[in-house]
Amino acid sequence: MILDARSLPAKEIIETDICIVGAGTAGITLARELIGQDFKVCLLESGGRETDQATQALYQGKNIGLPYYELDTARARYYGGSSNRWHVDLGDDRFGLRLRPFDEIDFEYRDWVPHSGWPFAKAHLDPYYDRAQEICQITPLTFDAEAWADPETRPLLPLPQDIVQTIIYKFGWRGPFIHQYTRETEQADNITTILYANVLEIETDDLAQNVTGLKVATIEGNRFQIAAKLYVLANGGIEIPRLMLLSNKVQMVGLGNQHDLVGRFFMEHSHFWSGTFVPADATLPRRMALYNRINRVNKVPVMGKLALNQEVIRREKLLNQNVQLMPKVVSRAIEFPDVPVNGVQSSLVNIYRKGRRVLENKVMVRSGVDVYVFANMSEQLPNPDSRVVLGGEKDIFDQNCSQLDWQVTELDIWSVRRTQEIIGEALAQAGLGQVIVKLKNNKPPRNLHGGYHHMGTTRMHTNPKEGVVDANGRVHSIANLYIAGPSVFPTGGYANPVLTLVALTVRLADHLKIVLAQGVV
Amino acid sequence: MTRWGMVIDLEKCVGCDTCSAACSQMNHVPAGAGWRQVIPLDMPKLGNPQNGRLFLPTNCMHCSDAPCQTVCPTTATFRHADGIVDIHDELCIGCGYCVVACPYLARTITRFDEVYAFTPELLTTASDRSGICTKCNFCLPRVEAGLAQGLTPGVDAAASPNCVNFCIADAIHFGDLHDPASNISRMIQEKPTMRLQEELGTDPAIQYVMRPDYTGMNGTAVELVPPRKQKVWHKPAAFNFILGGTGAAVYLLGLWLDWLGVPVTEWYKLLGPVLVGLGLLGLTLEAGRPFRSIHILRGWRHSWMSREAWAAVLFMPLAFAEWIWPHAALALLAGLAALAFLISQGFIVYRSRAVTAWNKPVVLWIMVAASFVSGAGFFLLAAALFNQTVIPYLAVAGLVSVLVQGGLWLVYLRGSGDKAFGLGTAVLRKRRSLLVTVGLGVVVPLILLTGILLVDLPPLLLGVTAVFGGGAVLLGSAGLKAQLILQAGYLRGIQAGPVQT
Ligand SMILES: Cc1cc2nc3c(=O)[nH]c(=O)nc-3n(C[C@H](O)[C@H](O)[C@H](O)COP(=O)(O)OP(=O)(O)OC[C@H]3O[C@@H](n4cnc5c(N)ncnc54)[C@H](O)[C@@H]3O)c2cc1C
Ligand code: SF4
Ligand code: SF4
Repeated sequence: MILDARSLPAKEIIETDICIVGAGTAGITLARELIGQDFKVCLLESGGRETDQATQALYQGKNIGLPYYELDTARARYYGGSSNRWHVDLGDDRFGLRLRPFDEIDFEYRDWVPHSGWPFAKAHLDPYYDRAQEICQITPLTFDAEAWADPETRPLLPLPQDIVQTIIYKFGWRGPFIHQYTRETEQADNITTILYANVLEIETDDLAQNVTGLKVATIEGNRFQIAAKLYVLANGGIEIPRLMLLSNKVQMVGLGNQHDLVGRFFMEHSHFWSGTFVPADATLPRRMALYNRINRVNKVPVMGKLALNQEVIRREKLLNQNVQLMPKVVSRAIEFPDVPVNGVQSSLVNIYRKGRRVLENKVMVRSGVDVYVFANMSEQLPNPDSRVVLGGEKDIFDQNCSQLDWQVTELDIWSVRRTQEIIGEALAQAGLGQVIVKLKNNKPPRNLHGGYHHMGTTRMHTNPKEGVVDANGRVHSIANLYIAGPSVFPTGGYANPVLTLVALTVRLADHLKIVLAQGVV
Repeated sequence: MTRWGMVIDLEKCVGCDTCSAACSQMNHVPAGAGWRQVIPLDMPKLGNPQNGRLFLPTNCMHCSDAPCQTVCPTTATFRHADGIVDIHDELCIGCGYCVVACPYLARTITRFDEVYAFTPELLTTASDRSGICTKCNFCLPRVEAGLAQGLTPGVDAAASPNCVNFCIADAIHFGDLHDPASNISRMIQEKPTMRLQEELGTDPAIQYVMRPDYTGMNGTAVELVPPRKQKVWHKPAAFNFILGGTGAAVYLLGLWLDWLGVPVTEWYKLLGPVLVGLGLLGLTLEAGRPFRSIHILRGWRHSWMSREAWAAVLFMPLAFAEWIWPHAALALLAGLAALAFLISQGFIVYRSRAVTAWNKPVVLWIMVAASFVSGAGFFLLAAALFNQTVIPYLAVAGLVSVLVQGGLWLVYLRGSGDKAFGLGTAVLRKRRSLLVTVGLGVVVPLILLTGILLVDLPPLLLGVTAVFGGGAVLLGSAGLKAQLILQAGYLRGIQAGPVQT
C-alpha cells in the first residue's frame, strides 16, 4: 500500500511493527526483504514519486572541509533515494551503477589503520553478498577476473599477480531499484509506504533506551506520529547522524551519541586522475578491451581495473585502492619522450615522434591510444575529525541543517602515491611499460573529489566506545533502533558502497525477522 | 515549418546534473567540453520567495539570429531548416570566434592532448571533435532517427534529446515551438516563462519556466550568471592584431609618403605584407585545426574574420606585385586591401557580442587607430636608422594617430556598460595599465614627436629622438591592443529576461 502523508488525518498515531525511515537504496532493499512476513512494516519517505525542490531543499547544508558537492545536490531526497541518480551509461538508453564487494583486507583489523576492523570477516558477509548480487541482478556470482576475461577478445594483462592484480567491477542497471522493487513493496500487503513523510525526531523513553515513536511532518504542515516495535534509520549517511543529533530531548548530546561518535568518521572515496601508464608495446592498447570499456559478458556489464595484491598492502602498510586506466590519445611523445617504445629509444626517433605529435595535434590524424591516465579511487583513513555536525542554518521545519567537514589525511594521499610507485615497479619489471607518478607531495590534489559515498558516520563496532551501532546494526544502548546504509561501514575500502550496503541490509532483514519472531523487544 | 525548442522548468530542476552526465556520455562530448551546464543561482539575490533553490540548466539556445553563426568565418556553424544550430565538424578550424560571440556560454574548444575518456570508443569521437568547437545539437541524430521511425520528438523518448529523457525532475521538455498544439507550446501558454538575454534579440529557442515573483524580476532583466573571463583567445590572437595591424598600416603610411612625393625607400612594400603574413602565421598557433585554414575564406558573407582573411590574401600578392611592377592602380588596390584588413580587424573585435568590453563601436576605431599608431612607430624606428628625411612626416602621422587613439581610449574607458564591461575595463583603468596606454602611448610620444617637429635637432639627436618616440608609440599601441584582448575579455553575464505570464 502507498499513502500520501499530506492527506493523512492530522495528529494520527500510526502503529506498526517495523518502521523504516527513508525509501532509498537501503530502505527499499530492506522493505522488500520483509515482504510477506506476518508483521507490519511502515516505510516513511520524505519525498514523493518525483523529486521536488521544496523537499530537496531539506537536504541543504554547508561544506566546511574539503571542497565537496553542495549537500542538496549530493543525494536525492525522494522515493527511491539516490538510486535515482545512478548514471553510468550501459547502452540501450539504460543507466546503472558500479558494483563490487569489499576485499577481505577491508574487514580486517590493520595495525597501521587506526579504528580499522569490522566485527566480522568477509567470509561472514559472503552469503549476503551473493544475495546482494541477485538483487542487483549481476549474476553469475563470481568476481574472479579469469572468469570474465577472454584470451581472444578481452585478455587479462600479464601482470605479476603477487604484486598487481586485475580486479573486476560489475555494473548493475538502476531499473530494479527505482521501478521493480518499489512496485513490489507497494503491492505487498504487509508494507505501507508513506510518501511526503519527513521524520523530524526520534522520541525515546526517559533513559533513552527505547525508541517510543517518531515525529513526522509534511512540508504543508500535517503532523503525525509513528509507533513501532523496531525502527530502522535508512535515510542516508549524512541525514542519519543529523536526525540523531537533532533528537536530543532526552539524550542532550544527541541520540546514541554518548561517546561522541555520531557524525564522526565521515568517509568518502578519494577520486582523482593523476599518474600515467606509458605502455612499452605500442600494440598493447589493442588488447585492453577488458580495462577500457564496459564489456557485456553473459549479459553482465563488466570492466577490469588494477589493484595491489593484499599481501603487498599488508607489507607496505597501505590503504586499499584501485586504478582505472583511462585511455588518452596523444601526448606520449610530447610528455614522455624518454620512455622507449617497442624497445627503441633514440633521440632521433624522439624528435621525429615529437614533431609528428605536434603535427597530429593540429592535423588531428587519429592514431591509437597512446597512454593511460590513472583514475584513482582509494580508501580513506577513518578519521574522527572528518565529520557531519549540525550547522547554524535551519530548514523550514526550523531544524538545524547539516554541516560537512570532509577531511582527507596526508596518509591517504601518500598511500596513493606509494601504490602508484609499486604498480609502476611491477609493470616495469613485467616489461609492460612505465608509470609516471605525478603526485609530488601528500597534499590532497586539486581535482580530488568524492563519489557521493557517505560512509562511516554511524560506524559499526562491538565496542560502544568505538562504534555507534553493534555488529547487528543496532544502536548501542538503544534496544530497538537500527541503522541501514553506508553510514555503518567502519572502514570504506575502495569499492563503491552499494553492493556492501545491500548485503548488510539483507543481513539486517534476517536479523530483524528473528528479533520480531522471538518477541525480544 | 518546425522549430525545435525546449522548455526548461526552473521550478523543478534540483541541480543533480544527471542531464549533463547523460549528455556527455551519450554524445561522446570531449572531457572538459560539457555541452550542458547546471548553474546554481544566487537565491538571496533573487529574493528567494519560496522554500527551495534554483538551478539554471543551460545548453545551446539554438538562436534564430545566432551571433555564433554570423561570426563563423568558415560557415562551419549553420542552421538547419528546423532551427537547430549545428556545426560541420569538418569545416571548423577552431578559431574560437564563435566562443566570444555566443552570449550563452554554450561553446567550447578542447585541445587534442587534453582529451581522454572512459573508453576508446568515446575517445575516438571525442578526439575527432578536439581542436574544433563543439556544442549542444539538441541530439539531432537521435531526433532525426526518431522522426524517420514516425515518432514524435519530445513525446517519444527514442526521438528526444538525452537530457530530456534522463532528467530526474522532468524539468526539460522538447518539442516544436511553431506548432501551437505541441507539448512545449502549451506549456509556454500555460506557465510563466522567460528567455535568457532577451534584450540581445537572438530569439533563443529555450524558454524557462520561472515564477515572476522574484525580486527584480518585475519586467526587468536580472543577472543569473556572473561574467567570466574568456578563455579562447590568448597571446597569438593579440599577436596577430598587433603584427597584422602594424604591417597594413606601415604599407598605407608608405603609400601616403609616396603620394606626398617624399622620397621613401621601397622596403615598406615588402615589410607590410610580411608582417601581415607573420601575424596570420602566429594565429595558427591558436586555431585548433590550422591545416584546414583555407575554409576561412568561405564565410565572407557574414564574418569579419573571413573578410580579414580575404583582405590579407588579396593584400599580400597585390603589394608584392606592386613592388615588382610599380603601378598606381595596383598600389591603390593593395592600399584598399590593407585598409579593408585594418577595418576588418576592428570589426572582428567589435562584433564579439559576448564580450561587452569589445562589443562597442568605439573599439572598432580604437583598433584601427592603434594600428596606425604602431605603423607610424615602426616606420619611425626604421626611418631613424635608414632615412631621416621622412621623420618629420611620420612624426605628424604619429602625432595625429596617437591623439586620435588616446582620445578614443579615454572616451572608451569613461564609457559605461554592463558588469562584464566594468570588470574588463577596470583592469584597463588601473594606473599600471594607463602608464602603458596613455603614458607610453600618448604622453611620451606627444613630447618627443612635437620636439621633433618644433626643435631643429642635429641628425644624431633627431635619430635618437625618433627611435625613442617611435619605440614608445609602438609599445604603447601594442600594449593597448594586448591588454584589450588579453585583459578586458569578460564574457557577459547571463540575464533572465522579463517573465511572460
Ligand atoms: C550520482 C550518484 C552516483 C552514484 N553511483 C554509485 C555507483 O556507481 N555505485 C555505488 O555503489 N554507489 C553509487 N552511489 C552511491 C549510492 O547511491 C549511495 O551510497 C546509496 O544510494 C545510499 O543509499 P541509502 O539508502 O543509504 O541512501 P539514499 O538512497 O540516499 O536514501 C535515503 C532516503 O531517505 C529519505 N530521507 C532522508 N531524510 C529523511 C527523513 N528525515 N524522513 C524520511 N525520509 C528521509 C530520502 O528521501 C531518501 O529516499 C551514487 C550516488 C550518487 C548520488
Ligand atoms: S546559444 Fe550560442 S552557440 Fe547556440 S545558437 Fe545561440 S549563439 Fe550560437
Ligand atoms: S537532470 Fe533535470 S533536475 Fe537534474 S540538473 Fe538536469 S535539469 Fe536539473
